[in-house]
Amino acid sequence: MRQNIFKSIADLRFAIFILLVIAAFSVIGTVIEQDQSIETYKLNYPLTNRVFGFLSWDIILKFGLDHVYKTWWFITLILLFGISLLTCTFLQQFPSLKIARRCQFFRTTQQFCRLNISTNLQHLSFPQLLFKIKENNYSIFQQKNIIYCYKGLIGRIAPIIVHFSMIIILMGAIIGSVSGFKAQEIVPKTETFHIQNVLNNGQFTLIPKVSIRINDFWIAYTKQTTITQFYSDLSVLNVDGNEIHRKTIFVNSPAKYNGIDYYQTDWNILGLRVKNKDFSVSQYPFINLPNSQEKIWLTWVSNNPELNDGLTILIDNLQGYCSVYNKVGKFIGNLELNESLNTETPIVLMDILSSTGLQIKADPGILLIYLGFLFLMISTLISYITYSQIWLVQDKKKIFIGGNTTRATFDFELEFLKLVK
Amino acid sequence: MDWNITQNFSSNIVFGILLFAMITYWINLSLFRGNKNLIKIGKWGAILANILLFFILCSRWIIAGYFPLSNLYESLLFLTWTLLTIYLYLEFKTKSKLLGAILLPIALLINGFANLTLSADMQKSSPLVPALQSNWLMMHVSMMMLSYATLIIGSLLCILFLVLSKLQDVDLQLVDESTSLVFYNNIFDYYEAKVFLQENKSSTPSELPFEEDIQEIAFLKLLKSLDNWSYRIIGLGFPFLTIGIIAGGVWANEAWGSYWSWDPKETWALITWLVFATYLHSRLTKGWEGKKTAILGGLGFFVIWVCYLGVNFLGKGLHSYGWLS
Repeated sequence: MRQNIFKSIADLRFAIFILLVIAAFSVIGTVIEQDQSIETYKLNYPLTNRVFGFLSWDIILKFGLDHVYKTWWFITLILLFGISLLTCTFLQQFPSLKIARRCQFFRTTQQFCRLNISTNLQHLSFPQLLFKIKENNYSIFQQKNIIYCYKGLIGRIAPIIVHFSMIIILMGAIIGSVSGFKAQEIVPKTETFHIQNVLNNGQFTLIPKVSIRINDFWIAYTKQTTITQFYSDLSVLNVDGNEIHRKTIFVNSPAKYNGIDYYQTDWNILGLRVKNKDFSVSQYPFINLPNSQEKIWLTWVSNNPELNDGLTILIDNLQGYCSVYNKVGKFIGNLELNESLNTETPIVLMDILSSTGLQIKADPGILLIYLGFLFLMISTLISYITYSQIWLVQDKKKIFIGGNTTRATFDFELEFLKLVK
Repeated sequence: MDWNITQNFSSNIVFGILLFAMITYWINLSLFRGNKNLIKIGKWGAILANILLFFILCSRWIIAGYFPLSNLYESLLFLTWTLLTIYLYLEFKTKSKLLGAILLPIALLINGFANLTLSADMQKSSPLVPALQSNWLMMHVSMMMLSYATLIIGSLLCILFLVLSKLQDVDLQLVDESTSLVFYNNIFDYYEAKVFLQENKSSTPSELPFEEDIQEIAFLKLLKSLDNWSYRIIGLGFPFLTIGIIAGGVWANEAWGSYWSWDPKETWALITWLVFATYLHSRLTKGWEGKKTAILGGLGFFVIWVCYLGVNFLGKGLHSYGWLS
């Protein structure tokens, strides 16, 4: 009974079915936007006037369609897929490999009829034929007048490695999800932070107590003032506050220290510091304009105690200037660092305060995953190799020859033709 | 010399040449069967288009200073180039005229889409954004495009199989039993000629039943070679797709710390991968050869296009190049 269950899971048609089901359910997650607030779904999928005639927000929430890839049923499907992979490997691939490795001589000439390609020859001698087969890189086994040759056995082993590497990847993903974590921090330049804003973590995750100092943050621009790169210079500190590791990170070049990776992902402008007429220094916070695609910040610098007159300052870059507008919104000019503008109340721009957005991640499963990736890449390529077999039987003056192959039927036919020519 | 104008001009010429080549192929297949010269013109047209596309891509590479696969327009050009290269190689190997007749329209459509519908702004190469400044860009995108091209050709052959067999169940095993009859002619174009150029055969009445027999077998043999060729091509495209997806995963892990984030493009690449995985597995299932596998392969054709272009209409996610609205 148990054997039967495993057999049916290992069955190819079941595997095909499960692959297609996973594919079909994956589509849902690309049609319905994932991980949004309930309000978004209520707005886009109202109870009346349902999308496609049936889809409304209560159905979406009930079946977890707002987070398809984290629902129990999707994860069950993936696990089922993993089990199918494993059972297939042990119940189908290993036995067939065992058979393939055995020398299977044809002892009677009738067996040739079952082959797709077979013929009998008289014009070639046995040694001639064997020489030709050897030239085609076949391994040859002989027992008196019967011969068995094969090549490309690796093409039969590779699919097993494909399955194993996918199991390794799945295991790596499980390890990563139960013991890894991911956090995001927005840190003002020159400040020190600890990992606090954890986005997701597993059951066995230990968030390490590290302190990191952001020494500097800057942006490099091209001549056309488009951004080339974001840089953050960060130091890992020990308990006494001394630096033990330092690196300048940028997008595509994270810092890695003690199993934790630090990625450059975001940035923000917090405020600006200006020197007033009387040499006092004031600091004004920037606010980010809501609902805008571009990053742009805005602040209000008043020049009288009643706060009813002053300047609006806009900024969208870190090139060291901001744009100044007067009360009615008329553009006055760009205020550069350590410069002032000719207004009634001249102010000097002292500093633009920026912060860097970091993603901090630890994933203990990544080594397994990369290992699986490596094996998967190599083994899928090798799987392309076709596995060919040739049988020969000498019966009196006649030589019976036949063969088959797993993948490249037509290449094999050509090769066979050249052999018997 | 203004490179932008030169590139645009050559790209338009490519469009013209492809159109011309396609027409010659079609005329050849429908009217002047067996006329070798006409097909040669078409083939040389395709080769010329291929060289021009190569020139455009190279010049963009030199001028912009990075691998020319940073936006939708360049990826479309690269796809056309890869499609043409693979098709020319296949035609060289199989001597088939069918391939050109079905592939040139696809190349033409892609090229037309790139040149005529994309705005000039989308065609321009612009400095790479920080996220794209990585050597993984070359590995990931070129592998993805290569796999798209191979899989498109393979799945097109599947569709051709379905069309030729008129969705009927064809018993391909029959061919094997009768192989001895035409055993020494397993060349693709031989069967193709038999099936498509029937009228040109001047057979005496007495030979007719025999000729018909050969016709029948030639047709089955053609279907079988289509079946096998599509299997071989998809079998090659699948590892490319695997490598492309993995390269993307490794890159994503280096760039923002997660190798998989269920972004729509990623998910659709996974769906494509799953569909072709089922195709390859269905080949191993006994009795599924022919129609059933061809249906899966044909399904793959549409899935690739959703993955490559369809997702761009969503306009969200990490793969934010060439959003179409």
